[in-house]
Amino acid sequence: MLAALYLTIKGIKTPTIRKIAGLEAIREAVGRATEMGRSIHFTPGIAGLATDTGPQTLAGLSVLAHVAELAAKYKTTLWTTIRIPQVQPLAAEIVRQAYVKAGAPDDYDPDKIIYLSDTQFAYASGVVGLMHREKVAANIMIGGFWAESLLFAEGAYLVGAIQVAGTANTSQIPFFVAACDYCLIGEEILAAGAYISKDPIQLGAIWGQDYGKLITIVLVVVGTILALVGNDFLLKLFKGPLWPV
Amino acid sequence: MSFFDKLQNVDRRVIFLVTFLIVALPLVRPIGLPIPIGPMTQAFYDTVEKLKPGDVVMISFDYSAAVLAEQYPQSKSAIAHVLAKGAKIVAVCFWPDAPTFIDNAITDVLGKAQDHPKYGVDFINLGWVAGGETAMASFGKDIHATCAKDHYGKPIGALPLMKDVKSAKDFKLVIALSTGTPGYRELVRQIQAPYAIPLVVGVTAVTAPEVRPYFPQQIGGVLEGLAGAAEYEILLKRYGYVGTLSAPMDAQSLGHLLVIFFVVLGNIGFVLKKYGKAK
Amino acid sequence: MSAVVRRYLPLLITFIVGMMVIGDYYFKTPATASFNKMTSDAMVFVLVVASFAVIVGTGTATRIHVRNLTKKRAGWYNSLGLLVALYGMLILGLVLAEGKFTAHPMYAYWWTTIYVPLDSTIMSLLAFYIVSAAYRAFRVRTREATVLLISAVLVMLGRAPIGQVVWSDLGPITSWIMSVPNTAAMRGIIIGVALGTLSMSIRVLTGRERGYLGPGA
Repeated sequence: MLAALYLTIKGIKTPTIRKIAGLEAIREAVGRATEMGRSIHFTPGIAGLATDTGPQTLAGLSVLAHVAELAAKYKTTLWTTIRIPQVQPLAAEIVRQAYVKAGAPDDYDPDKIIYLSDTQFAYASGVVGLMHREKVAANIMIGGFWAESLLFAEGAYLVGAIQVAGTANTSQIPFFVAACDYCLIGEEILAAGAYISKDPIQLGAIWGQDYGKLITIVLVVVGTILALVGNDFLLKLFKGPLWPV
Repeated sequence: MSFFDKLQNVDRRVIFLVTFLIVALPLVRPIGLPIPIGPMTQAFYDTVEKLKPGDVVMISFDYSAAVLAEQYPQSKSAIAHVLAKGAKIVAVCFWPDAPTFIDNAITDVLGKAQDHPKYGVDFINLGWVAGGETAMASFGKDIHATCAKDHYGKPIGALPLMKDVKSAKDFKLVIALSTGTPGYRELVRQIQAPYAIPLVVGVTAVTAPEVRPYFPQQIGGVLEGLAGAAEYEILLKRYGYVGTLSAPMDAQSLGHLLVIFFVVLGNIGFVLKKYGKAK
Repeated sequence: MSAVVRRYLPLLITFIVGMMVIGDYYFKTPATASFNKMTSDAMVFVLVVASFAVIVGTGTATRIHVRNLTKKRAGWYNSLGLLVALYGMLILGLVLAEGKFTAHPMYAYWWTTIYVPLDSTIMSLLAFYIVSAAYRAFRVRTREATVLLISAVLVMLGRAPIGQVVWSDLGPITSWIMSVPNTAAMRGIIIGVALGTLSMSIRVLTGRERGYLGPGA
């Protein structure tokens, strides 16, 4: 992973990421909202930055930058709802910079990046209420989601919004697959951040992760073969602490 | 709109009303369907059964009020089973909602919590420890440094139960009742794996599929949602435990059937319309 | 404080504390006892900081909703309700609870009577939404959708008591679906996400990832 990061940061090798259908659909979603004269809703999930679900929130914020730039370009209202207070200033700055980049700094409205509540279902009710009041035409949800995911998805469906959603929380992926028009599964959302921003650090990280997965696959195959012939070397190696705690 | 279109586009208000009636009626008039015991619940029960009198068990209540319907029955059953084996309980939570649930669950099982004569001897409520996974790691390393006082403000050093319980090494079993983050995954990383302590979990039905990869290596048994709690109650009948989940399970059964009915209905309309067009 | 110190001091602290925790995991010998104790203390400091983060959240919520009130924005009465509930419970737990904080019976009463039913009610909406989402989404449009539909029906029946009444072999079939294809898919995603988390952690420890430091970092 470190090697991949180094090579990418130094510009020695720039990995490419395959097309992700959900990300391509974001432009369609923003365009649809523009044509209908309605607004877009975005949420980067309900996870914080400091937990192991932090990467999902950061991925969501990367996608927010892209969505905000499109919204600024097409002069479409973008509502961003936030659950974690520490994420709110980050999201506000990301949206502001996106509007500046799109050449529409005066259109930036900080009141449209709303911290609703720190409590999961209070946040969920706030989001669904906002989607119904504003009759959003596009609902984009990229980040860490838990039980409220289907509330968002159905709430947006009821107002006729096109939906692009993605999370790495395995328990919620089926709800997004069932209820949303486009779904990013698992680490596609982590790749989404790199895909959109083209940031060498993120690209290098994705590349390193791919090699990590390749190594894991090799270990699984080798371990399976070894287990079948009765050799438990790999099993013992990975089973417990390397030495007594 | 043709008949086939109507089959595919039933008004959602009708769906919601029928759902309400189908789920509510068995709660008023239970059917009494038999509840078979699943392998995951059996594994959970068998793991707790191995406890001996005097063993100390950590029960981590990591859920919010939203999932009370599924996890609270699991909590009560787990507490009752552990105490029935003569083991002791160190109850803690890493979610801010849960200290009251610990109190209520202990009260429901024993009649009293803080005022019980055996409080501090057979069980203790350490309350909420803020900090998520870091709190779990710190708790595992040094309980007294992490939680100087219990949920009621008593210094834990003065309580008989905690005299010999200093770190996670002193637990014989960890029971995680969890619904999200921090939850069982963090406990696997910070308590189960570093200290090699058996771990069993109670989760919501939605979380159950993602627990399976951890079974049976890291997690020895799983109570999967309300069904798992109901199965566990049946296994605890031998200890005189009186379960309350027969009617809710009837409601769940009919709810599942209703979903299948609507799915089939929608597909009938879809397929017939598709083949009607093809002809 | 100079801009350089402001920028690099948090990264240095992150690196040092991260290395301490990693070192503490691998080195537990009598020779490293004082290092292990120092790391334990550092982790307790984190808990104290995390507790103060609650105050940050409360302050942010207060600022935003007081602004809604003073500017009489749409839905300002909701903000008033929030502030009354927030500070009402705060006063109850801090001032009126006789030092018992959330363990006081009155606090527990209001918590159990108001907050718990509200939270449970919002969650219970999922039951209705699941039925309508399943009805809408589970159509045999493609081969994959058909497989999804059949496995969903089998698992739904198998996980409810009525399934065993309908067909006694449903239990083993459901168990196989959950234990084999489901577990395989979950394992793949869990491993992938774990690698993503590892990558992010390496970037945070080496200072390449600064998003958590706030805007401008």
